[in-house]
Amino acid sequence: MVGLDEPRLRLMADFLRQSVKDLENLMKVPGVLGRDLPASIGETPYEIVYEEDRLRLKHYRPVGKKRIGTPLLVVYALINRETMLDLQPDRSVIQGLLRGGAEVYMIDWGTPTRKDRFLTIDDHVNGYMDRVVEVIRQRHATPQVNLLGVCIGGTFSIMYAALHPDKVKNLITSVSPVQFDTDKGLLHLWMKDFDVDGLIDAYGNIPGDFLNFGFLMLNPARLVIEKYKNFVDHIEEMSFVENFLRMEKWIFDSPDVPAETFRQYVKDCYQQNLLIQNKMRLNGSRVDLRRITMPVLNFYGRYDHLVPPEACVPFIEKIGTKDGENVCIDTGHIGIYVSSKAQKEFAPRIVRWLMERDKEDKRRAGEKRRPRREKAPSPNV
Amino acid sequence: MDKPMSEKKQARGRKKKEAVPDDVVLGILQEMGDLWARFFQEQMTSFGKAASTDTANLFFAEASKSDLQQQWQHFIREEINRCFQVTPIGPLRQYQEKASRFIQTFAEWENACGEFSTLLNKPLAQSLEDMEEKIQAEKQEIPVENRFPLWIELLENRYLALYRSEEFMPALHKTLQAVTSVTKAREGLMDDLLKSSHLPTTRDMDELYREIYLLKKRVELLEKELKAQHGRT
Repeated sequence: MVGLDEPRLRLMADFLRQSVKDLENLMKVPGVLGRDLPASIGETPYEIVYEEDRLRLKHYRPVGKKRIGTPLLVVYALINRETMLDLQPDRSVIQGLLRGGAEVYMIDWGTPTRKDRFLTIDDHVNGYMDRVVEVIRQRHATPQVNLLGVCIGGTFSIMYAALHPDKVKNLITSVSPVQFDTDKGLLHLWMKDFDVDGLIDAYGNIPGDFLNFGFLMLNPARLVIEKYKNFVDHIEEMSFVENFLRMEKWIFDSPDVPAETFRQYVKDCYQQNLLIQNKMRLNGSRVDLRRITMPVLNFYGRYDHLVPPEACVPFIEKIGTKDGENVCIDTGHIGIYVSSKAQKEFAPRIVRWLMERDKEDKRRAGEKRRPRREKAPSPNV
Repeated sequence: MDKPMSEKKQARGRKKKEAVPDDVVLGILQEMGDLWARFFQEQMTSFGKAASTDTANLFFAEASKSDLQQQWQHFIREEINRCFQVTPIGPLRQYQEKASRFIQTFAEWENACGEFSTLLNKPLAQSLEDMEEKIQAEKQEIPVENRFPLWIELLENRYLALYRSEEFMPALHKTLQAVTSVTKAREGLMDDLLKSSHLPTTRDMDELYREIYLLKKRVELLEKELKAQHGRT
């Protein structure tokens, strides 16, 4: 052989071997996908306790003894579906919370239709969310609920907590943007001069497919090429295939976003960054973050490319309580809920934190009941 | 007394009177054929013109992707669109105007999407070049199993660089604008179709939805006021 030394020949042989393997795997894909694969999501049993328009309120009962006194309301985002928190039994934030002894409620926003295009953020926060909180308060005869907000659902929860602080006992936010004036995330960059009016005039509600295309475009190398190559590489591992299909099912099940909500979110938050400046208004009422006086736990993902840490972290500095904490999880935007590593961190941490707050409340209540003793004067005085 | 003519004879007579000479029919057909041939020839000539501009000789030969795309867009803009850019007149002018608008926006959309997809394809080519450079720069051969992850990383970096570049945002905005324009123009056409079928248009339905939305808000407010009044009494 001329011009080809031994390492190069070996490399060529490796390359050929790899290509044959890839081709073999690729040929197996139709056979595997042709089978009836179990890829159902959101399997944890629940009951619907409230319905209004397209919204449904799901109620999950704790597994075993109830260890957290106040019911927890999970407010999911308007993008994709809440089933992400209950993808499969061993990757389920909901099950993690139930095992920890929490009584969980979760909002399913449903599928908006053209009829819903005039719904604003105010309708979601002061309308639907407030009525849902009322339902829970009545069901449990409790003055307050714990709130857990996810992504935009977290931003909504922040607005709700600022406008109705008396109804929220503890606030937990996860990957929820508050500081929008950052160029770290591409979404923040793209949204700056985005013609949201033009898009809404043309489409009405923002189509889920349009949003999906935008999210895929953020990182085509990983989300369009590497992801499917990985799938082909692991085509013979059934657990991998099933997990993959569950994620596919969830990720491309994207409801449209109500037009006016989207318009306000882009203009007030992404373009004018009003929320963190305490200038955002919902139906005339100013959202003042300093009114958030309840304990706050704020999760963010270190590698989150949609809501970068810079968009989440400053929230804690702006609230009116010292009992606020940022928690970083070494994962991305979705990984915080579905990665096997985060399963051991996210839900258990919430349960622990809520139990600590419950203990603290009991201690304070005990102190109030006990008559105060006069302190003995110091011998130096 | 003359016998009345039989019906057959009468019919023959009528046919003779009404018959058009064959040469006239042939003449008309000839004219139509000539007209079509002239039209066809004109179109072919204009197509030839488009193809004989400075870069057009590359159209079928050594054209790079962008040249090919530019030529295609030129052809659509200059030759196809021109057929529809006739000033509308008469009672149907508004429909013609809408149709022209749709065709124009469609061409703009196609143009913008073409440019945008060319832009999005750039990192692919660049990352492959990067990969080649990397392989040549490495002293030792990069094992096969490491090559794909390396390429993905290079591609990811290239996309990030593109998205933060100055050329990307204008292209994105132009594409989005083209998408919204063509969608609105299509809706204009659909509205006419729906109206002619006595069906409500999207705008009609939106008005209705808005009214329902506002009514619901009003009812909600009234309910609250009523509750408050009952609470006081």
